[in-house]
Amino acid sequence: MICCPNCGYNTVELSGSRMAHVAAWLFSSAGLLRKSSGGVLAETEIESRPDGVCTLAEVKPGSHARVVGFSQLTPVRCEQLRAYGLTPGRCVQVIQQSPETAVQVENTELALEAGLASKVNVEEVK
Amino acid sequence: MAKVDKHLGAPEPQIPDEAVQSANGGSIALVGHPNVGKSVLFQRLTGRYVTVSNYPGTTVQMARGAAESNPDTVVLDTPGVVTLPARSEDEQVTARVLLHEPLRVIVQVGDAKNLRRTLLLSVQLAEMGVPMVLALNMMDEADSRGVAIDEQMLSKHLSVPVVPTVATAGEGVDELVAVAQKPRAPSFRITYAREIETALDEIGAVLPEAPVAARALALMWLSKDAVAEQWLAAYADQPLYAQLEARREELQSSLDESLSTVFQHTRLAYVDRIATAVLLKSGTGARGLVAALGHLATHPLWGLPVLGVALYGLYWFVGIFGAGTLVGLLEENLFGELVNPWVTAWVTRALPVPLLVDFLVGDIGLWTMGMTYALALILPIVTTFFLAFGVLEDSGYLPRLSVLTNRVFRLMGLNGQAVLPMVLGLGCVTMATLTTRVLQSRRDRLLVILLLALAVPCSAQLGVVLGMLGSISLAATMIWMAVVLGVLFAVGWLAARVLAGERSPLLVELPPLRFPLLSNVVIKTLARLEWYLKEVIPLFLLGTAIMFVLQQIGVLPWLIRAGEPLVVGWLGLPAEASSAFLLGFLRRDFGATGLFVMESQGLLSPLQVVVAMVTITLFVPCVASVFVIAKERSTRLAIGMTVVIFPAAFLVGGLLQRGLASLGWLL
Repeated sequence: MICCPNCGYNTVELSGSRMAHVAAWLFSSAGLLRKSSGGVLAETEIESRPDGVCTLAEVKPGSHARVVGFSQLTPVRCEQLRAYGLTPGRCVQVIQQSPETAVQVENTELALEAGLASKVNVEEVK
Repeated sequence: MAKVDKHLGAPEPQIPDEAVQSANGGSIALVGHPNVGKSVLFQRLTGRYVTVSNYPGTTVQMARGAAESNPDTVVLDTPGVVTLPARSEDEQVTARVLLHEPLRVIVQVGDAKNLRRTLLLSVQLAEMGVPMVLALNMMDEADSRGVAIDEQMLSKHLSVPVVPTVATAGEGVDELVAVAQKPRAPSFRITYAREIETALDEIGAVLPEAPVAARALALMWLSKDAVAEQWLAAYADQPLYAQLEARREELQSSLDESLSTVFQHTRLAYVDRIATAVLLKSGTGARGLVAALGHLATHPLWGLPVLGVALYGLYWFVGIFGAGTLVGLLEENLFGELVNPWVTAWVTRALPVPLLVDFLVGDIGLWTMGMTYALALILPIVTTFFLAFGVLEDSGYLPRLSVLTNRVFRLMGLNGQAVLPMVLGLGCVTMATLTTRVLQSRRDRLLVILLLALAVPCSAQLGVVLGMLGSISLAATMIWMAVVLGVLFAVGWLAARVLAGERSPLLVELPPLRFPLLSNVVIKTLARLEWYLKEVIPLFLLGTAIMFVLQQIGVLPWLIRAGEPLVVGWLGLPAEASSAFLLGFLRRDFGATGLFVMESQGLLSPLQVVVAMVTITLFVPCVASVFVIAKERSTRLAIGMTVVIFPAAFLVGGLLQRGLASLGWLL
């Protein structure tokens, strides 16, 4: 069981569950796992990522990406990122990756550490 | 506003002791995200002196002013909020204003070019049932990016009047004032999922009467907003509170995600629908020279020369122009040749008591030392610093600097946002300690306060230090910088290991680079100067008086002798330097100027100057900072820091002296 440090909400630690991972892999292979941030595995480690999904830290500067979800972030942090505009379905443009990641969201520029950016799952938009 | 509780879990909320009520009943509260121009608008509405800034946190000491249009009405400038429910200390202050102060109208100041983000806050504020106006600010930036909004349609969706404004130019302000005179409560409502609606109705029915709508309070309660919890703990009796807790628990257990996340999802969907309906054109983004310069400022390679230019500008303006030219003019010419001789002559004639004359205009005279130091030495340096810092702040450069310096601060267990209080510390460590509220976690704030107290020289001290070292050689300045930075990193790294808590990663908005409005910079500088002088002059006078008394009763020579083994034996400085250290505790710049005077009299060798400068830089924070630390954190911490820093400074100074002497470095 894991406990959210902010609200005390208890849930099962799915990343430690082999069965949950096997199930996730089966579902994603069959194309049944939605790519959005909904669903119980959204905020835990997903070992197999569907094609085209990478992290924000991996997107080349100048490219666009659509936010898919977050992994390994506390619910409070996710809320904060969403409040800044990184909501599922939103398209952002990566401005730079070094020294830190900076993206343009709507008409604002947001800087985030590589550590945070690597926990934001996105899909590249050509 | 009453001081914000240090322990915000305390059950008793403090009703602000200065909750000034307007004659018409209720104040006007300016609410909004950071960087949207709330403070500029506040200034337009009140015409008062206020600190205006481009980054969140400077207005934490909430500003209040009488509205120009109607002096009976009070306007409040609240700290910026990133999200509600309030999590950071700043946000909680704003939440308190909403819940505790009698408000006539909420004016949300929003960034017109980031409509969705703005609306996310608007929908939450509109649900509160308090009369509200939405000021879509920075319309000029929205226009230049090709953003066009249908304000009428937006107003209909939110049931809140919408006024486009450009606060920096004063456009739209009259219309805003007119609309705010006729406030009407919005009839806005978001429909949540069925179980939530049921719970909201149930909870809303039993809540005590509140300044905001019962539904809004219920939403805050369900999101576990700390301010709402405190309010209910105070206004609801124990059985009711327990009942509310149980109901919340029941609702939460039926959902996968936390309630505040569920609310946010619903609101985001709503906001998206509204935005799609009212955005006529969503814009092409920033182009042009300014945008390019902004990107350059955060570039891993080109950012450094940009920083170099900024630093050199700061150094030249404060160190050379301020500490050199202006101080020279004031101290030698104005005070030295004109004012002081005149005052001395007048006092000698007017007062028959020689002791009193000595007290006022003698060697350690209130006027000749205390006031002269304050006005001729410190004032020009501090003024130039605050002017330069004001320009930096208003230009929007500082958040970009936090991106460049993030890696560096990681070594110290912090993130790049710490650059803001650290840079302000170069102006005044006491003020910077207050600015640490910008930082997100208590751990970060504690760490920065420690580093500020230890290793950051405040502007007057910095000006004197750079002036003295500069007159020796560049190498001397480099050695000083290397030692101080070395101590900074070493202590930061160590302290980060010792302090409990996770490091907070960098997450910061980068506002566009803007040309600073000179009037704003000047007003801000004057406000800071006023605060600073009110602090400095009494302490300088007190310090002078103490020293005078000590000298008269013969204690001063004794103190100097007592300090000798440490100052002469360990540090290798002349005995008089110990009085400079003593004064340095009172005010750091006072101590530095004491050494400055000694050097200009030829009493210090270059090696001694370097050792003295390093020691005085690392030396304990001045009395004012200690008081502020005691107020912000705890007296125990303040005393603890002083007790640790004092020997540490001397230790490093002595080691440096031995190190340099053994290398045969005299220069």
